Amino acid sequence: MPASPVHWFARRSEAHATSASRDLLPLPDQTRTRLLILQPTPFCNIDCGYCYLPGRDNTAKMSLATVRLAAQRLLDDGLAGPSLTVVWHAGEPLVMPPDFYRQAFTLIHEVLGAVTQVTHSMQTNATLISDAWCDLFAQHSVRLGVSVDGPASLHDLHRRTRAGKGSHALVQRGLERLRARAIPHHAIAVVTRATLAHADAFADFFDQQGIRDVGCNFDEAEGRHETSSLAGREEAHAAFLERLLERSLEPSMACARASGGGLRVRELVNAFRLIAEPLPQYSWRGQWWPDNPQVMPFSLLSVAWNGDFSTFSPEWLGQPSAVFGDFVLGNVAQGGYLASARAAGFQRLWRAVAAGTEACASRCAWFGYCGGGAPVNKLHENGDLASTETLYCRSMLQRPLDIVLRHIERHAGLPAAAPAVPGPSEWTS
Amino acid sequence: MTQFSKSYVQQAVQRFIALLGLAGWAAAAVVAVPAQAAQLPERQKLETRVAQARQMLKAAAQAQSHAEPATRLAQANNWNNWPNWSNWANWANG
Repeated sequence: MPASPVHWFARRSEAHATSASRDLLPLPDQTRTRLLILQPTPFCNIDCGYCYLPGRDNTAKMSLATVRLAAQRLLDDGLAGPSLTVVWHAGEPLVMPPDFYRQAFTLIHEVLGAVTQVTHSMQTNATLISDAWCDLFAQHSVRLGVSVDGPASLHDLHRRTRAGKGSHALVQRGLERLRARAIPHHAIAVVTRATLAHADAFADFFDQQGIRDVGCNFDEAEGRHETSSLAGREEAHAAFLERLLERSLEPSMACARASGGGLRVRELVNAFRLIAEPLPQYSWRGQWWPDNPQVMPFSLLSVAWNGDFSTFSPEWLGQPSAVFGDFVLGNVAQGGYLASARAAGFQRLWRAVAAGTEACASRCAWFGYCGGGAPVNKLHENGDLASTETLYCRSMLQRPLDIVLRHIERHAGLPAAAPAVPGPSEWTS
Repeated sequence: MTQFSKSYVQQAVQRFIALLGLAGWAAAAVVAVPAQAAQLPERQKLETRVAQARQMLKAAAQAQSHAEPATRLAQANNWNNWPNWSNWANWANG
């Protein structure tokens, strides 16, 4: 009997009894896809200085047939759990027409609606938002993230149009339209060295825009963006986060007055959550591991415009790699997701990612709050997937957690702890 | 005698290698402890801090139910209703 991917997955122990599959590294138990990243187009209408995306001049578009296959493979492989978030990203999603999404949402619902509660999400630069888009967002309850780096003086340093002009005015126009239509949205900002000295202006901007929820990414060294401007400036980043925490707790902020709560910075909120309750655990090879979807195969699935798919870190989509076959594990037109797990390419990547997770488990003090870091950053920063700490780990998890811990300790009148995450080059910068 | 000695030495070397292999296997089995079991001093210190902070957050939340206005710490504790960021676009450079 030919083994379908579902059959193989459901009966892994039997598969392991055969000599051909004995060398396969098993998948974690109860593997499910939480996040399906679909790249409607690699094209972006603006030209940010820190962007890592390859091929963003490419105007290719995902076909509706590929959308359907991406969803169908998920169903066929038994990877669809009770809920799924579909993120339209990895290029500017609004360069596609709203009707594309209406049809795509319908297709995905037809395929997965009976088994999965699907939430659609878009991350947009907001420069193309119109009333037609607002209609779509409202009709389908799209979770909308706007990429904006704060006030124009910070934003326009890096987020420029293809003509080289700042894009802030266009973003403001889009934000105004969202507000006028009462479309809920949050923001993701990229923090660079220029942002660090302007925490108050940064917080004021989002407060004035009525944006309560803000994620603070930083210009990670990935793809063609080879160096992060935060490298060597981690003490300043700590001060920036500390000021954001103070501002977050100020009752005087406009959003605090309006909603009964202050600005919520994703990294600080994650830190509070990690303190309030332990990370969920998953089972793998008879052990319990802290949950980290970036190191769990198929938990995050990225499908490119042409149907090529990848897993683990979403940034890998389209990135060149001779060792890992450009991180492409298969194509939805040719086979399922789980079928790719039997291929040498997947096993090579999975072994390397797992080695990195095991290294973190044995060497990193923060492992219980992270579960193994971000493979893409390990590879780009350290040149080795089996490595451990990165600038990303320190900036996105360790430092925010340490700052919140120190805040709570101060509040309780405990002796002030020294910063636990100074960064490797702090004292030489 | 010479032949016996050679054979004896060969067998001894083989047994020694086999024993080494067995010891290596046993050592590997011992090393394969649960993921959370590798106890580093820094990890224990961090876990202590987090456990202490967790108690303080709980205390702040309890105090909030008896007092107005809410303390800043209790207010932050209410951030638990934050959307689940870990599930999505937290990877992108904007």
